Amino acid sequence: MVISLSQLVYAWPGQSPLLRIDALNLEAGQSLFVGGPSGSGKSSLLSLLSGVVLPTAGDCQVLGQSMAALSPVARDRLRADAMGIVFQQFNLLPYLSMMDNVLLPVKVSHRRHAQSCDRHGHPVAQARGLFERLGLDALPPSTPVHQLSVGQQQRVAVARAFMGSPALVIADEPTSALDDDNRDAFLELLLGLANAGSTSVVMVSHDRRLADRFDQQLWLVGPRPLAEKIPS
Amino acid sequence: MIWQLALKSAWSRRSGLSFVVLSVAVSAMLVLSVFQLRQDARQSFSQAVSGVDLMVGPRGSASEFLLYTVFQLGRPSRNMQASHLETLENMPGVAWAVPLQLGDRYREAPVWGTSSAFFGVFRVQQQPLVFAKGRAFAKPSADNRSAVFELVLGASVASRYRHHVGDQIVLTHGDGGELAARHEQTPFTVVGVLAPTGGSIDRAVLVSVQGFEAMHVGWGVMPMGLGSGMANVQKDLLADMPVDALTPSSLTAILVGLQDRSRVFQVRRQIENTTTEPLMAVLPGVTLDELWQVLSVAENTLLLVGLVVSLASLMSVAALMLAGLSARRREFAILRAVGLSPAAMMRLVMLETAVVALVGLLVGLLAQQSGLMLASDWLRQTMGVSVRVWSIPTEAWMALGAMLLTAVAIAGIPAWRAYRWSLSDGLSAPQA
Repeated sequence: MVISLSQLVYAWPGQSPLLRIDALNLEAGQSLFVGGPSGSGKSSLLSLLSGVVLPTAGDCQVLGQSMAALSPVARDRLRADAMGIVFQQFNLLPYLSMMDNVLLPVKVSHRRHAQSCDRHGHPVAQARGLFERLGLDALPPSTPVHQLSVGQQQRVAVARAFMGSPALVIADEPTSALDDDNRDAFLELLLGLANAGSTSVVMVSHDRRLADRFDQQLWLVGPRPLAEKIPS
Repeated sequence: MIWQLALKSAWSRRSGLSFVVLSVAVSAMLVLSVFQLRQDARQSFSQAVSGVDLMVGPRGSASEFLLYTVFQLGRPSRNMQASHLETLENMPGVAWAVPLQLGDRYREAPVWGTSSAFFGVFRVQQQPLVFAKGRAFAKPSADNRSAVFELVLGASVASRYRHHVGDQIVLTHGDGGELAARHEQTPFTVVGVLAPTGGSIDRAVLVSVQGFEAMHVGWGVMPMGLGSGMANVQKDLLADMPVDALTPSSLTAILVGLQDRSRVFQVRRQIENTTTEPLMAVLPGVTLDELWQVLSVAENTLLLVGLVVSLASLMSVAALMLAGLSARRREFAILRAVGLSPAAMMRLVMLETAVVALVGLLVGLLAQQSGLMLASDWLRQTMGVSVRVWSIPTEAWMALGAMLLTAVAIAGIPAWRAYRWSLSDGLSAPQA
């Protein structure tokens, strides 16, 4: 099980609970769509999953590890070793080239470096493969990231997330800065890569039209009413 | 990993950071210069006369006597009988004794009447006198009458008035000035120009005591202002006078060198026990050092100002780093997302501030030293301070080290802010 949540409650300090999830399980290779209006706790869920914050109550297990039981350093380590994260925008370090941005995870995590070497020979080879897959191979890898379009930047971010084959990729509104055509192509690539590497994907979006493409959907409704889970 | 990121990140913000570097560099220059000038000025001052073990003059204030005889500052001291020169020369323990007579000027430059032996024994900051051009004036004798009117120029005098070996020079009586009487009848010929020393001798004109005496033959006997009448009398008197008769009756000071420096206090007691006239023998280095102590208040104030300025500049480093930090919140969030800890963010900021401070200090050090190299001639000639490149006093190194430590400590402020932010922002930092 990649993600296993039970009786999860999260509240900002001193506020009423923002997020309640009774049970959620995501198996390896499965994809989860998280929808809901702004302020419904979507981003908080991603922070919980990535181990940046801890649940107020209940259990949040990622890759069999209960987040609350791990030290902050161990949670950072878990994120480095097993997760790829794609933000809405501004995913890349402006002072690194496209290639160096993509190689960041294998520099931070020995495990991902080893996995990349096992499966692709060398991280640079994996990065080239990802660029090809994502239609970025026409650009020289040394391209400064500020020369990339927003769509290209998002695809570089996806390449970085999949670098070193993590078990889980988390994407926070990755398509909101893209137009419709780009959005569909982007989703195609994201899910395609996840399938190919049997990587689990959790994607947050306010765009309901995308929900059908995922194995599971989770609709968050905000602080008061309970979140309801709709099995597909 | 962290190093590479820190360097690349800093390089991408180099235009902003270069101002931080500059600010540190300027304050490092200031602190270093204060420390070094303090050291060198003190040394230049207290070693303005070296090689001379005792300076003998009529009893009075030792510091006033030294200020006048060495730097020609303050009121002229009383003269003493010239006969003491011979007494001192024959005193046991004394290696040599050289006369010094002051009073006249050439334009601004004081005239030092002395003997030709002076050039062999006088030292400035342990360095013997060297001739840039020409030679010392010869010892006047019956066979070498013309030596009476030979003259040697200090380095600054020669360059200031553009005089060369062979030039004819007329000295003025007393303190000089537009209305002072000129020694028109006794022109001197430049036979040598000294190399710069950094001492007061650079601003002096040197003649033999016989020459000094010859200028004044007939003066005081004949009423002043008789014009050519008096001038002719002086000429006639001089022409008839044997060189041996041109010995001075009084001297401003006698410079004494000892055979054995450890006996300096015995010799001093001996000199001060002279019965014919109350004398004193002054240890020039010690007395000048004591005089310098008086200036230490000003010196310490300067130092304090330097340290406060450098503290202010280090605070501004923290302020600049803090101001730049908000632009980096996004960067921290990205690094957090790939698995770096908040502590790593802290190290990143700390490292950057330390490197920026270090680079600033190094730039300041190099700029200050090369500035010193360029300015050393000017400092020596105009201020009489001889500075030496790379002779950085230990306390200046300590001050630099303290600045670096302070910078790293101050870097804790932005580093802590980065730590707090990366904890609270998590992965959702705003794009600044």
